[in-house]
Amino acid sequence: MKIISALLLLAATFLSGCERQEPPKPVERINVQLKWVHQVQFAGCYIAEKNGFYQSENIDTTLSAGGADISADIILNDLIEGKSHFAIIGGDEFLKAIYMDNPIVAIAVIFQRNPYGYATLKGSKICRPENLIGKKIMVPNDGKIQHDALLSKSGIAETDIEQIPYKRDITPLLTGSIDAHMVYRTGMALAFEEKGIEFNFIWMDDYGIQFYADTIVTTEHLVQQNPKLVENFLKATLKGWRYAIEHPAEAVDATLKYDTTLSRYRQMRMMDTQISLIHTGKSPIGWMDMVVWERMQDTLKREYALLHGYKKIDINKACIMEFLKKIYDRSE
Amino acid sequence: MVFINRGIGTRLLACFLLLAIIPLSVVGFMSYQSGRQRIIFDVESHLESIAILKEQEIDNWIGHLSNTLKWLSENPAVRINTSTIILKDVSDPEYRKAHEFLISEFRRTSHLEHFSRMFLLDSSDGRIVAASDEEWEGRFRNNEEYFVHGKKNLYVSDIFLSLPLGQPIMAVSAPIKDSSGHLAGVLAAHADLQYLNDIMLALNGLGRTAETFLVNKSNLLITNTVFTPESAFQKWIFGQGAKWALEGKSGIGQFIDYRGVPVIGAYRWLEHRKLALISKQDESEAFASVIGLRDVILGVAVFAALIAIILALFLSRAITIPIHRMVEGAGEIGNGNLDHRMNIKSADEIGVLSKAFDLMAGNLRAITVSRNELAKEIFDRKKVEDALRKNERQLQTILDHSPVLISIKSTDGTVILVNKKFEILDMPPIDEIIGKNVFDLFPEDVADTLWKNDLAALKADKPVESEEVIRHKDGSSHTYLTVKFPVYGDAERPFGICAISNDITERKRMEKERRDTEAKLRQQQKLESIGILAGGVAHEINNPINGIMNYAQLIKDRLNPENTLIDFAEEIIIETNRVATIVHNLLAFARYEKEFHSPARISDIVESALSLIRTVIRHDQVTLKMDVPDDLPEIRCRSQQIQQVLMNLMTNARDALNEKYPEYDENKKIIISAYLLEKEGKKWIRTSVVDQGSGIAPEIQERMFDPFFTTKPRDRGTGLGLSISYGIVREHKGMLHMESVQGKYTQFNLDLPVENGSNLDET
Repeated sequence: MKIISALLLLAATFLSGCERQEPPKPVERINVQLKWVHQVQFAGCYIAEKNGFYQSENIDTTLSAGGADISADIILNDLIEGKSHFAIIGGDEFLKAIYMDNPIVAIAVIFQRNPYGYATLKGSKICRPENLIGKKIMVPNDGKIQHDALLSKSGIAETDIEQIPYKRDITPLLTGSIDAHMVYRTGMALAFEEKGIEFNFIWMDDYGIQFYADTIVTTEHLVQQNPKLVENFLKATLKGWRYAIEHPAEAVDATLKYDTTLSRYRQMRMMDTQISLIHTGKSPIGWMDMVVWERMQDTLKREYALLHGYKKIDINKACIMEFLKKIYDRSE
Repeated sequence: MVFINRGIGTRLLACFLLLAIIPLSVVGFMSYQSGRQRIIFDVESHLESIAILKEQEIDNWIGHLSNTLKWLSENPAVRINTSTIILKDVSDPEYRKAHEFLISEFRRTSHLEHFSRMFLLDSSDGRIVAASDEEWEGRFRNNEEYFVHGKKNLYVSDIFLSLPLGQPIMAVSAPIKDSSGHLAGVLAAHADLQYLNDIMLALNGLGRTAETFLVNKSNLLITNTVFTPESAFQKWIFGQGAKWALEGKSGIGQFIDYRGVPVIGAYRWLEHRKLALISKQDESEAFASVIGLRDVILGVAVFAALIAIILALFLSRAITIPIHRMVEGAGEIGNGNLDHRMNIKSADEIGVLSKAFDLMAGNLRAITVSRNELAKEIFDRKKVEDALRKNERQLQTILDHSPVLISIKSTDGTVILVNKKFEILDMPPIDEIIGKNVFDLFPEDVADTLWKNDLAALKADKPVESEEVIRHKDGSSHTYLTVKFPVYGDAERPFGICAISNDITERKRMEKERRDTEAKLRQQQKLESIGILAGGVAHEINNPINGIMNYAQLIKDRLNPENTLIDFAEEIIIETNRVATIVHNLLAFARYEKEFHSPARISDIVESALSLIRTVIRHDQVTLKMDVPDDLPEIRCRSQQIQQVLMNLMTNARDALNEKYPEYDENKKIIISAYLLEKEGKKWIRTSVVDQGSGIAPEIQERMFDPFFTTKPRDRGTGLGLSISYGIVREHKGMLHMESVQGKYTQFNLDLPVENGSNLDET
């Protein structure tokens, strides 16, 4: 009996010793550059931070807000120079960067669906692209390519529509000085909602303009040097997003911690609205479909060719599925 | 209590409890286990059949939807109108007619069946050309799988979230072919998922914790659950059942569900739908009935245990009370009461035992009488021994607390006894001393003396006193006054020597001190009486000397300058002047001169003294080093006198230096310093005059302050300087003392009290 218990004790000591032998991993400090100001658009990151998902992956994350003065070029520059480790930028911006031979890669797409569309007043009967013919429209600069693509897909000539210089203001549509306003469903469209204005929303996505929006990117260098860090960061962020969708109110609270001046009501509306953009039910959160990337490239190629001469991007090289597959344990 | 520890009562109680509880526990546990197994089996089979039924129901529903769509897509009218729409222009009236037909057909079917909308897609570009919801027309679905697959076959999509609707949908699609069999369009419809939800949530005959739901490949919850209503498509499920099902398994079992609650459940992987179906019920609810059974068993067990306790108590009391009486009786007899009888009259074994006890008590009584006498004798002897022991203890206590060293040695010098006081001596611990010889304990010379004294006492055969020096543990030597005397036992010859030693070191030191003080006092008195004598004499001499001097002056004045007698007169004047100086000094020593005490700074006094002799000192190439701060407190004194004292000291120092270094030397210097010090609770100013000159021989030091004592040649000093200084300082209630090493240095310290008690107007 004594021998057995002694052996057991020895084994226990040895086992516990083994556990302890694992040296504590050093915490990795990383900087994440967000595409825009702090708002619920990045709720997954805030939740991952607040609920300690990053921490349990041994990552100390700083989330830096973007803004009107931080252009996509600045964000890319900082990323390549190593000032930030990850960035969240638009899918079109990402493709443009790849087109210009920047050494970056996409590791996941948070906004799977195109949030752009045209807002028109409910009573205007403008509820599909054909109805835009002969109407006055405001199109933002970064929406121009999609707008053009939609017109060509719907067989509408550019001259059939009168474009009015863009303003970030809801009054032109209300006063009737324009008929349609190209806006983000999760952005200015919410302002109409809050005013109690009934409106139609013509999704670009509904008319074949599939665009990936918020994309998580990092550098080729980091992927090669520290793939584990990339995987861990992505894992925690995606977990944050899943939690955010399951607990929208908590996601908004976590967001408000970053900017206390935000309207809780607006952020709550934004959260509700963005869920169907982020998670489609067809694939897990963050998943990337190479076909969609190819389609985007196809849509954008006219502009690319105009600016930088024609060439084709190797999507499979620029968009890395390795981490998503590892995280979701898929081999397809 | 009657039963404590391992008494009969306790054992009885334990036995009864075991008897009552073991069978109950075994039977109870077995019935509980079998009940539990039964329930698990029942619930699992029930849940499995529910799961299978639900799967069938889903299949039936989807099959029905598919059939409806297939039927519609093959409907000739639909096919013709589809062709029209695809081929004709929008403006064509035929187009409009076909459009209207299709829309009304779509709406009608949607209403009848579980479709939320139905639409026709142009097979060439995936554009919706006709839809039951008008606003859906014009939208493109070319990228959707239901379009891609629907072009070929009847297709049922996975359930996904629709962007424009913001709701989960499932699409069913089928190709529509024109009359020539070519693909014209794709008919698609959105299934109303509310129905699917209803199927899954429909009551299943189990309790309120039973639920059935669907989970997709991404662990996403597809239908609402009982516990999380409205959570379809907003929750991911990571329960063990879902995990198993998503691995492609189907089965039953007990596992932890997505809430972390243990459940009994069935899980199925629906391969066609790529969905996991979970059907489960909380263990707590499933086992509710068996838990009731368990509670009943527990209740019965507790009741049985209570009965057992009562019975055991009753029985044990019946046994233990007579035993207890016997225990008391035995105690009584044991305490000596041999007349005690138990008198237990019962006829059982205990009665017999008590009778035997009573008989034994009678016999004991007879034996005890003779024994008592013996006991008395022992008692008396013990008393004497106690008295002896007490005596010995007293003696030892006295010895140990005695302030003197007490020891007894045998006649050959072996230590027999020492008292505690010996601990302070430089020797081993007391218990190691006993039995050792005096020569083992002390250094040889000490031991020799001690032993000699011992022998002297033996020889004299009476107490002999002697002084002995012995070292203490702390290393100091102490002088003891020892009385030694022979010790006799019964025999006529002494068996040892007793020594009682008293430490007289301190007493001797004090005696010496007293002698020193007396010598000092005598010296002082001598000086004082000399002072008085000299004062008196000087006073008497002063007047005749003045006369002699005046007459000598007169003689000198009246003589012709060529007369050689003038020389004699001048010699008289010189010599009388000398006498006058001596007298003046003597008077000063005898305090015949008077001056007021007034506040003065010691730095000023030193400076004025120096002003008189600095030239001389410089001439002799003596270096002066000064450390006399200006900010010392003022002292009350006769500054002229103190100045004189300092001059005396400096002159002496100069002379000593000149004696040692006739020429210049770097060590030929006088250091004068002054500082404040405190002694006897008063403030003093010490002025030191130090020279590294010839020093003063020890035999001279004693006489230094005597008047007319001098070591200098006759023409250089009167021998009064230091004695006058001494007198001055004493009058200032100060002190003048000196230390010197011959050939090295001499230091005079002049200590003056800051406040000497004299008033300004005192004369």
